[in-house]
This record gives sequence, structure tokens and C-alpha cells, in this order.
Amino acid sequence: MPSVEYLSETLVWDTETREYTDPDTGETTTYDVEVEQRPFEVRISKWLERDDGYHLHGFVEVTPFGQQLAAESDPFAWVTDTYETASGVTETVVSEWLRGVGAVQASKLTEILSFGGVDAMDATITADETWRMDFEVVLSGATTFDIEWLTVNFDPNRGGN
Amino acid sequence: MAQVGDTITYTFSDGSSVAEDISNIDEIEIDYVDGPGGGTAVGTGGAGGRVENVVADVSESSTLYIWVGGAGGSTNTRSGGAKGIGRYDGGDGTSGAYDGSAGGGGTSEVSLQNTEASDSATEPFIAAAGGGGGGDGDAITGGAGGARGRAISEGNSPPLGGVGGGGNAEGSVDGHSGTQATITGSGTTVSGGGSAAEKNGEIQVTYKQSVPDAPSNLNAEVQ
Repeated sequence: MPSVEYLSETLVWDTETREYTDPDTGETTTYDVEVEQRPFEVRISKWLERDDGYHLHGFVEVTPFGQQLAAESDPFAWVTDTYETASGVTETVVSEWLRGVGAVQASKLTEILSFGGVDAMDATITADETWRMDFEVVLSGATTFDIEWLTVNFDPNRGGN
Repeated sequence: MAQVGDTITYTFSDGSSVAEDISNIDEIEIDYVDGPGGGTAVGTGGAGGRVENVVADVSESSTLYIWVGGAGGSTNTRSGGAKGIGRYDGGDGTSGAYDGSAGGGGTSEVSLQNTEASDSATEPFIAAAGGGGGGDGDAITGGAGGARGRAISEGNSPPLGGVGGGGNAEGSVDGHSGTQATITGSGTTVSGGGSAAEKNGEIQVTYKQSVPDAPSNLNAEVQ
């Protein structure tokens, strides 16, 4: 039973055209499906308990869709409100904000992560690449934290069977 | 770096491996390797396999690689669900006239080498669990789960790890043998004992240090 679960919120839907081949007639038709688009993702890769609390290791990564957004010279009309950070800071130029996620400085981490119920005792960046930032955060117990469009539920008591 | 006494739980992130520095570790106990579940369509996806309580001597190794497989994609449209990714990916679901089938889960695995999939025949993995099969669509079988895993012990052929549910119930590739680690406790495998349908896999490992041999004069009689 996983002890970390992700709940994604609907944000942007794009339309993809797919093909379907009828197995009986061999006729191929196309149809459109809606596909969720997410500019970046947060993932928890592992966790362990030490004397000072639960150490969660994870990363924030800008998706190809997010990189595409960041490359746009003009912000999308819909992003001005949507791209509000967890601490309530709204960037009006989304490309700058996304670049900040991809190449985040230590001070940015507090804007990206917001913890409910449990204080983050420590948060450090362990690796910083162009579109990805690895981090380690120490928690005192079960918690839920949000990074835009993705909620991570962490509960150490749900590990194992 | 893993420290002696650590019990680390590895969760699904993006299907790539986590490289754990085990320079200071002599022995690992793999508490469990849970394969992910298959996706759900008309039919519910199968649960992943589980391998548990595998003990290995890793004193000659410096890095342990852990892959946690992701669940197969579910679908409620004509489209097939996406395959789950892992050490070995599950199978994609298939489009249907009305309801497509779901994707199979990937494979969860613990290994001493970060080998490419093409090297799987000689890969020195320690324990692996297959993903669950994807759920059926309308008269269409679901995607196959990732490679079935085995807990390796020299000279033995333990039961297969992951067996999924859904349409194509079993993993598409057999587990493979060969290891550089000395497996001191081969563990047990539980078909369908891993993560449930639509749930990602999970792996838990406890890192240990060997107890040194007792000094030879420990039991010497006092003169």
C-alpha cells in the first residue's frame, strides 16, 4: 500500500487526435480525446525516519509542456491567476515564474512548498539542474503538502502491508 | 547515503532508478518489493506481485539501484490506457469499439547494476516484482503487466513474483536469473500481493552492518 499518494487537480486540457482501427472491418477512424497538461510535477522518490523526523526526498520537474510555456514570449491569458504560488505570490509573467521553478534558488522552495498541519523543520536543495530541482525535507509526521496542481499525501503509517 | 539502521521506503516517482550509496552497508534486508497495479477499464486491473524478506550480502558493492514501477493507466473511453513505467514497462491498453482496455503496471526491482533493458538476461537483480495486468475493455484484453519478478537464490527457482488480473493476466516477460549479490535469505513471493489496481508500487529496504566474527580468544579459559 503506497504511503505517498498524488492527487492532481484539473488544470489545462489539451486535445489529442487518436486513431482507431476497427478490428472487424479494418477501417481506421480518428477521434479527439482530452489530455491533461501539467506544467511541472513534484515527486517523492523515497522517505525514511531518523531521530529528527521523516526525511522525504523528491524533486520538482518542469514538464515539456511547462518548458514550452516558458519559451513563450507572452504569458498565456489564463495563467495569470492560475500560476499563483503556494504562499500566495502571483507572478504576472509566467515564463519567469516557470524558469524560477526549473532553476530554483533555495529561497524559492518556501514559495513552492506549503505544508498543512506539520511544520517543515528543514528543507534543502540537493541538486539543481535546468528543469529539475531535487530536494530533501524533514517532517515531524504525516502531512499533506501542495505544489501547484498536485497534492502529495504522506503518511508513514500506511507503508508496507 | 544510506546509513546503518535506516529503513527506507521508495515510492514511485518517474520510473527511473534511485541510486543509493551503500558504501557503508554490509547487508540489506528487502522488506518488500511491491509491483504496481494495472489500470482499470471495464474490468478492474490486477494487483502487482510482491517479493518480501530477501536478505543479501552487499559488502562488495557500493551502489544499490531501486526502480519502483508505476500503475497502468485506466480508461473510460475508447482509448487504451497508457502503460505503467518501471524497470520494465507494462503493456499499453488497446483501443476498443466502445471501451478500451487499461494499461499494465511496470516492474519494481532492486539491483546492483543500472543496466539497460537490453542487458536483462545477465542483470544482477536481487528482487523484482511484476506489475498487474490491465483491466479488460469491451472484448479486449487489458495490457500485460511488467516482467514477472523472482527472488533469486542460487540453485533455486523460487515462485514467480507478479501475476496480474484483468485480461492479459500475467506479465509479458519472465523473470531472469543471475546475481552478483550473495542472497542469504531468498524471501518469498506472493502473486497479487503487491499494490492494488491503479496504485503505484513501493519498495522498503533496511540497511545493516554485519556483526563481526567473535574474537577467537573470546571463549578461552581463564588461567
